[in-house]
Amino acid sequence: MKRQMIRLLLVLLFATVAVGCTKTINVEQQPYESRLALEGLLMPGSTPQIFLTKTVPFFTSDQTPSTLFVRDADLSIEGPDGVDLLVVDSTYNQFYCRYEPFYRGSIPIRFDATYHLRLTHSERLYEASTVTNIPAVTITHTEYVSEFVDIYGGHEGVIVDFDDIPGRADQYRFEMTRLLDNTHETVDEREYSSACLPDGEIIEVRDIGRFIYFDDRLDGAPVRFVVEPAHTHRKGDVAFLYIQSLDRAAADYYDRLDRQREANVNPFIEPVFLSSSIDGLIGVFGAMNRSPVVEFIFPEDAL
Amino acid sequence: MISRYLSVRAALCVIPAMIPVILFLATDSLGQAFTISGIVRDADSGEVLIGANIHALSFGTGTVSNRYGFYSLTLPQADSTTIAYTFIGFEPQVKKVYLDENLRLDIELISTATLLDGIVVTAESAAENMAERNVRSTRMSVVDVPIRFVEALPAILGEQDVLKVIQLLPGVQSAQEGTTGFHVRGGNLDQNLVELDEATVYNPNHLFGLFSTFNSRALNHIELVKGGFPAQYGGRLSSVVRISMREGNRKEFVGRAGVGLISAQLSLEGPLIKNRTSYIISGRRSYIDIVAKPFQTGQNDNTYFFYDLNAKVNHQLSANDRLYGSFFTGRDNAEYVDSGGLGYGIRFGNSTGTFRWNHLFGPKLFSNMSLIFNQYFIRVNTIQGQFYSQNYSGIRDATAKTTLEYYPSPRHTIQLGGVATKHVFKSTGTGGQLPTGQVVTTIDPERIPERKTSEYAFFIQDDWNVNDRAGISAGLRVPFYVASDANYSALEPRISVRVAVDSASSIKASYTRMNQFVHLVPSSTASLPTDIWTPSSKITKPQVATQYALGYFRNFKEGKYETSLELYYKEMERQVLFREGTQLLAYEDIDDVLTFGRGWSYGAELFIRRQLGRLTGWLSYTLSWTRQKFDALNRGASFPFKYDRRHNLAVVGTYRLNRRWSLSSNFIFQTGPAYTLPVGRLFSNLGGDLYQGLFYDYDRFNNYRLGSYHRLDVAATFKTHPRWVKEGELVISVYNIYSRLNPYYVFLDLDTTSGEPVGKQVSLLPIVPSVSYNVRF
Repeated sequence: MKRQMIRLLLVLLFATVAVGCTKTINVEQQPYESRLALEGLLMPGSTPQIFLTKTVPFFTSDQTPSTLFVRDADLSIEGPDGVDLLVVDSTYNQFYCRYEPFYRGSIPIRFDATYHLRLTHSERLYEASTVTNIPAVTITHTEYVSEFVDIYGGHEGVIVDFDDIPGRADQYRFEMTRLLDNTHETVDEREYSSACLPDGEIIEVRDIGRFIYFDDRLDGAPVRFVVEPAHTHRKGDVAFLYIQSLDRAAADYYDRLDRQREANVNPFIEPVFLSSSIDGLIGVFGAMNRSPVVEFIFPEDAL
Repeated sequence: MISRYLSVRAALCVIPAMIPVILFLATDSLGQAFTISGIVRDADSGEVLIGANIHALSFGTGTVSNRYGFYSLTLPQADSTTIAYTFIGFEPQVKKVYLDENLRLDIELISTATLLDGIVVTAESAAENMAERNVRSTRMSVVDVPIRFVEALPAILGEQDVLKVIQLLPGVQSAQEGTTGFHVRGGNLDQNLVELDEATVYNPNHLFGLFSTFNSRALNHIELVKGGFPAQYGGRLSSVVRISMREGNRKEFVGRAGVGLISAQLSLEGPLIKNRTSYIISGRRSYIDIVAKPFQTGQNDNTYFFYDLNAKVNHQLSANDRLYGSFFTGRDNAEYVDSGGLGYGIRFGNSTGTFRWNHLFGPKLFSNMSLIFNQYFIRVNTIQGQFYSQNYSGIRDATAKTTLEYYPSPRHTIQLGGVATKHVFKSTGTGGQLPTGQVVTTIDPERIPERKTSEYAFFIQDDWNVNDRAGISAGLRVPFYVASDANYSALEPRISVRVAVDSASSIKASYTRMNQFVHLVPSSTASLPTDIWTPSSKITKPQVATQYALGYFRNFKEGKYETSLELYYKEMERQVLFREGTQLLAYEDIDDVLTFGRGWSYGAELFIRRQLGRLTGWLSYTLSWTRQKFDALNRGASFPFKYDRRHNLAVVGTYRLNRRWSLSSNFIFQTGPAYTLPVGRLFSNLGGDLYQGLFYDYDRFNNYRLGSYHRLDVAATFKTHPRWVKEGELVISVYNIYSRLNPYYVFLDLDTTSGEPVGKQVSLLPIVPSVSYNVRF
């Protein structure tokens, strides 16, 4: 009995001093006015695609791309081939079983041209410009690695080598297109493709790398990315690899997104405020280019 | 800008050039004059009394004993004059002397407790003289904390605590419950210089800051300076806490022991050579780990212990020479893992050694030379969910210091000196997502590159009572800093003035400029201490503060009540914070992840203190605002400092019921500290696909406030006289008696059903009753 009492006392003492207690509290939502959030990266050879959503107060229930999409805006992009009036379009994401709306243009983007975006919403005009002079790189080597450790932890991945373009400031991230069926799942939340995807049907899913590489300190040097796939894979699965070259504005924005995402989940990282290259809203209007595609076949399962 | 950086050579010329000027000004025309000097001691123990009043009644002038108990009072020749020696808690003593030669008068005052067996007397004259300093001294923004008061207040887990008492003073704000340190007038934790016998203690805490590393049994005197800094103080922007260890009983062997809820302590002191050499050794150790060990299973490594050890020896070589050697070491070691994915290991420790030589060159000139060594390290390993963080910080200092105190006349006290410190820093951190199935490699301190820097400073200060109505305290400190990639020097002028309104009140004003060459970079996220100390460099320039203060000081009821109302404004330049998104990576240059800005603080502080009678204590209230501005944070806009607490109220009291019982209590109310939460969310379509999710739209830094902090502590002390010891004391205390769950921090979580973010608040300490028993033998 005495032994139990001492044990209880110690447990209480430690619990008191070291852990304390946790309770859910009502954090009052501070006054917040929804803002526009815009993402548009122009790539030579493609038609413009602009994602325009609204932000929501923090303490609201979960949102989807459709509920956040802003449909009543007027967007145009002016370039060397005239003014492209963008229209609302959408794709259906079979993996997540949801529509993903966006604004689409019809005039292909030229290399090394200046484009001017005009967005009007609620009688307010937002403007931004970009120059599509970002050169593409070439992937020189790919390889599979079953385990590696980076600042995001330990995982398997695909090694992608390429050479930085010397003599200029460059920013890169990877892109991987995968062909998946409904037996594949995401590696983080272990989400399976939904019931929207019938057995045996294959869909194309695009992974974009979260990590942005800046060549500030190693101009012209060989670069190695180790790409963590966002979805599980089986031996023989095919992936198509690209390296995206981003302009500085786009790279800064997505770098901040990545660092904020890390700070949001890791309690030891300082918070990151998002910035914008467009006055009055959050987001980026920039330019990118893409390396020639390289096919990669996974040599083993990673489930 | 009054101060500017100078070349080392130019700055070195300033103080020598000032010396003859000040000495000329200080030479009052006293005609034929003689000096009375000596040491003031406690008659029981022979312990020196710091801050005792020495008053020449016939001349209406006086002085105060210094940190070594020494005083010097020069008076015109007189057939006879009466000198009164007073000190709170001691029977005043009056000496009639013939002033026809220099006199050496070592005085021993008798404790009122000794006289009347614990019955409190109201020593009116002592009260008057002590309170007089509140009004008549030119110094402002200084608070002395009697050690007996510390021992009387409620103690968490039965441990009396010096720093907890300091947190109850005006202008001082405790950090969050369970975190280390305190904030003074809007300053950060690192802006407080805590010295034990002149040695810097970088982390003066045990048990994550629940109480300090200082064992009150081994202490003599505590002084907090938060503004109007005399020139001898430097190296920090916001405050200096000077703690003096006791010297040990010079007359007889005395032992003290105590047992509390979590720790036990033992102090031994006595003469090695009666009235010439004494020692004190005092130690504490917690025993949670020892008691818990039999109950722990193999899988449970939770443990905690701390210990501290103070030792001091002093020897009187001659009437004019005394040697001191003091030593302190303290350690904390905590390991905790729970089933919810929280785990931490914290080890830290301070060690200091001080060797001092007091020499009297004559009745008017006192000198102290010190060699000081101190060492500090902290290692914090934390796991929260899937993430880990490791920090290591280590500092080694070696310091040589000398001070001359010259008392040319009762109106002047001149202090002159220099200090040289060599620092060696080792700091780094790392973290990230826990690697699957792998053990995280612990930081190896041997692999952390050392950063060696040096600090030098020269100072001169003259405290000049111009006449009964006015006084000026003026000084200059010239610090130099040498690092491998940068050198800095500066001029730090200091001035305080006093003008008497009447015999019971005065107005004081001060201006100070301070530089700080070491930086503790605070984390805005971590809930556990993540001390990263780093020295100034080419990138991390010294912090600089300019402070203005204005105060009205008044005593009531013949000095029974001291009151003051101070207004202050403090500008702090080159403040240091981590950049957004910073995660320390092992062995990288810390300068690369820092960002620099400025801060400013202003406010009003009210202090009402009663030092005598059955009921003693104080009320302190601070109304303050503190903001910071960093170009790289909060989109360049200013934001509230994390510890910008608008209201800070403390009411502290001790009531002596009778010879055996005394009751004490303190109540604290503070506005909650600021923290940062996003106000909006947005979706990204073209961001990385891995870990898809909504992103945060932050509006401002520190846009939310934790709930207000308040608690009431009470304690009862019962004195006993068991046969087997000289004196016994049972202390029963209750911390946070109404068990207020004060907010410690808030984190965000996701409601699994609605997907909506929710706030979760963590609280640390509910009601904590404790009991301790202390004996003197």
